[in-house]
Amino acid sequence: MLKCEQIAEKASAYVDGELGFWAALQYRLHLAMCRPCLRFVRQFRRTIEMVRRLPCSPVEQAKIDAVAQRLDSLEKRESPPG
Amino acid sequence: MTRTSAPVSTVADFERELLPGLRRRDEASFNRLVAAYYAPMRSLASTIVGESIADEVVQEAWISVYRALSGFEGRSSLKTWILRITANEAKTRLRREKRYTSLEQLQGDSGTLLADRFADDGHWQRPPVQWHADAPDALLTNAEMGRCIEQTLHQLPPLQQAVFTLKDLEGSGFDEICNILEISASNARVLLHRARVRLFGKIEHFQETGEC
Repeated sequence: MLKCEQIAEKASAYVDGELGFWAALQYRLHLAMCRPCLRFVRQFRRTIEMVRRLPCSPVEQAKIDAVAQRLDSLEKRESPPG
Repeated sequence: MTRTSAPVSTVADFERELLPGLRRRDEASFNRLVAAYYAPMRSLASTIVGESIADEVVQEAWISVYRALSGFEGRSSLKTWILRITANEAKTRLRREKRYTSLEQLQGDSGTLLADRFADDGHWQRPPVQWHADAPDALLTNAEMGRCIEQTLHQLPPLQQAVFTLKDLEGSGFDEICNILEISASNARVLLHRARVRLFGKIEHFQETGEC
């Protein structure tokens, strides 16, 4: 029988679906009987989902254009004449 | 705009279509590649060197990509290969500026953040508190909370932040992460778990106190 501390230690492996069949079964059995661990795992998942939902600022087109220009000048400098 | 990662098959198709043009150093192909991968490169670079010089690192990485492309053997996806070059460029920059002297500093502490919450028998001594809402979107209606999470993410040790960003925000697999950051799979898993636990702890703290 897993202890609560082990549930916390294996939480990432569990939510990523990386535990084997028997390990996952043991894990779920513990969750079925332990309210604090069930809450922990549910909120652990929410944590990942929340960070995913944070708005991210789009890259400014000017920065992409700057790379394109640098590569273009590199191409002209490094390619053999003719 | 939120973070979404493209399905693997779409990435593979995109790269297959682009590679012949890239090998010919065709300008239009490079422009498409830069437009597609600048954002994940910047996102990775900023985890290692910080926001302020991430763009400089990405610019340097593109020069390296351009020069090394003829040697690309296709043993990984082009994206993984480009992100590995970006990570190396970022680590070189850190070493040059002597901001991190050891691998331990890049990885962060080895202590388990939840250890003090369990009794000696392994059961909860201080169980998790119930959050005010269950759905992530409902929780994020508090703008202060969003800023707090973002700040916590940026304060994570560089490699924890990089693994978290690649796995949970970019959708990379562990094989790719190990290839990009040149770390072992077991190390990547430990770093990911530490990052998630730290973020969980901060959200819980915010739920309890209303402060970051």
